[in-house]
Amino acid sequence: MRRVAEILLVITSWVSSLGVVAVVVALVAFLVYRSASVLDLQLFFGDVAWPDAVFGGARVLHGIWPAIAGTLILIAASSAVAIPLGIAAGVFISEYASGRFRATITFLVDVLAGTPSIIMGLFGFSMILLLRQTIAPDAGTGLLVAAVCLALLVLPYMIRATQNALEGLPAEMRLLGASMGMSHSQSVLRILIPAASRGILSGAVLSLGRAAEDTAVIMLTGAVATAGGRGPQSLTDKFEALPFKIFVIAAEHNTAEELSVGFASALVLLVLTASLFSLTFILQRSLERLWKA
Amino acid sequence: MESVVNVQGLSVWFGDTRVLEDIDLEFRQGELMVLIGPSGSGKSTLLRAVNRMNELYDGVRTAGEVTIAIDGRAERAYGSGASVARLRRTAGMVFQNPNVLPTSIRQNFSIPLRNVHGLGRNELEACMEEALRDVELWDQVKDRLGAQAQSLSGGQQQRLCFARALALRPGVLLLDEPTASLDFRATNRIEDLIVRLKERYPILAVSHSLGQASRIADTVCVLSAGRIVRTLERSALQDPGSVYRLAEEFF
Repeated sequence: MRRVAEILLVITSWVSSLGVVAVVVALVAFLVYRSASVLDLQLFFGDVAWPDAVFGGARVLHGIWPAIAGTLILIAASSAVAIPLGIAAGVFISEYASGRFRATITFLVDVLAGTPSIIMGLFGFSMILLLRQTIAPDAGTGLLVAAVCLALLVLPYMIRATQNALEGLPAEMRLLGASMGMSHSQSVLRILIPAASRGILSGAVLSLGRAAEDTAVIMLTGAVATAGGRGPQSLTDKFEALPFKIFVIAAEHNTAEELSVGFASALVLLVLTASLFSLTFILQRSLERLWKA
Repeated sequence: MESVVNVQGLSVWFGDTRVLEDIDLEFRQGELMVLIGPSGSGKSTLLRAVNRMNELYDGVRTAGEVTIAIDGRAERAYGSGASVARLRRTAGMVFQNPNVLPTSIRQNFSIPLRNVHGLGRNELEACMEEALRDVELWDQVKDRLGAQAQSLSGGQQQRLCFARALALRPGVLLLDEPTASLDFRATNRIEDLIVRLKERYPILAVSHSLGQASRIADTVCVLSAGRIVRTLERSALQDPGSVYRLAEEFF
């Protein structure tokens, strides 16, 4: 009986792992297949020469370049808020807070993690309404508002990943810094955070991915279907973004070719996030090597 | 001889449990004192009371007084205004499992030495070499200081930990069962090292083995249920009969 259970367990694990691989491969293959007919430079820049679009600020009216630029800047802005803040909060909860205070913060982070993204979007939207009625009548939705709301959305992932990575370190490693006469902050900065950096990285990857794909938040806080054929020029601009672009095309396409552009955009978004993951990975490994060497 | 660590009326509670009860203890320059006793008798807690490491756990309460010589002056470890960092710097500690940082051998020295003593690159290298020579590890690692410390054998890792403690220029060594996780040969080498270091540093060590205690100790304190129940000098340890009676009585 026991033997049968063991064999079943092995088979189930294998099938499940292979299933995951199969699903990913099928997804990518499907996207490539559906977008193959439109995958060329024209997809990105329409009839405009690409250096003019990227460096010269030429307007791209038939291409997804503005959406790519919008998504990249959006991710950069929300990461700039969420990653440092999330790491700091995770370090605080794990290494400095104690007792009831710590339990309260942990609970609030859980609440934040359970908040649907549409609520974050509504929050940003209402904030702008409030601002317009009170101190800033000219306030409007735009890149900054969207980035802050996205940051709020991914903050709990970042906090929880940092906290778990630190709390998972061996108990003796926590004692080591103190036993050598290092202050608590020295020990946190020079030993514990570097030792936990892989776990912190996985939080950053999760946050980047979540910020890249979210549509609900940005559609209420400043994403538009067409923003004049250029990427965002300032933090208060309305902007295009890939996930919103895909959503609009899926809902409103007229021809089969338009739908193919939608699939191609999805593929580009996938490649974009994969590249960001790799970049984050390389950055973390280089920092870790510096600490270990 | 002058007293290096002097413990008076020390009691320690973890929550409501009293782990140490009214301990008096004194050890001197050049002395190697070994604490033994069954597990749970409070020997590690006593060791960690000297450099206030118990305070890193929640719900610990300490009463009594520990006086320790820091840079030649007797200071009260638990006195108001005592610097915990300076106290812990003075007391070099080696743990039960080799507690190396998951970094290169060199970083195992430079992280603490930079942060604790603010050493620059050249002083750091000299300090590391001297310490590694002291523990007879230099010849084995001098060509691969950039290698991961965790790639060394268990015994080598433990000697690295000794070297790291020595590099921090301690006034006294606290050893918490330093051979408990090592095999026979590595244990022998560490015991030789401890006996050699005794010439330069007063040492307080916890041991799980009565045999080890009788091999290396000048003084053995036997703990049971949070109290020191017997103190034996070196001469008594050489008599197999008294060691046997001790084993019968407490283990």
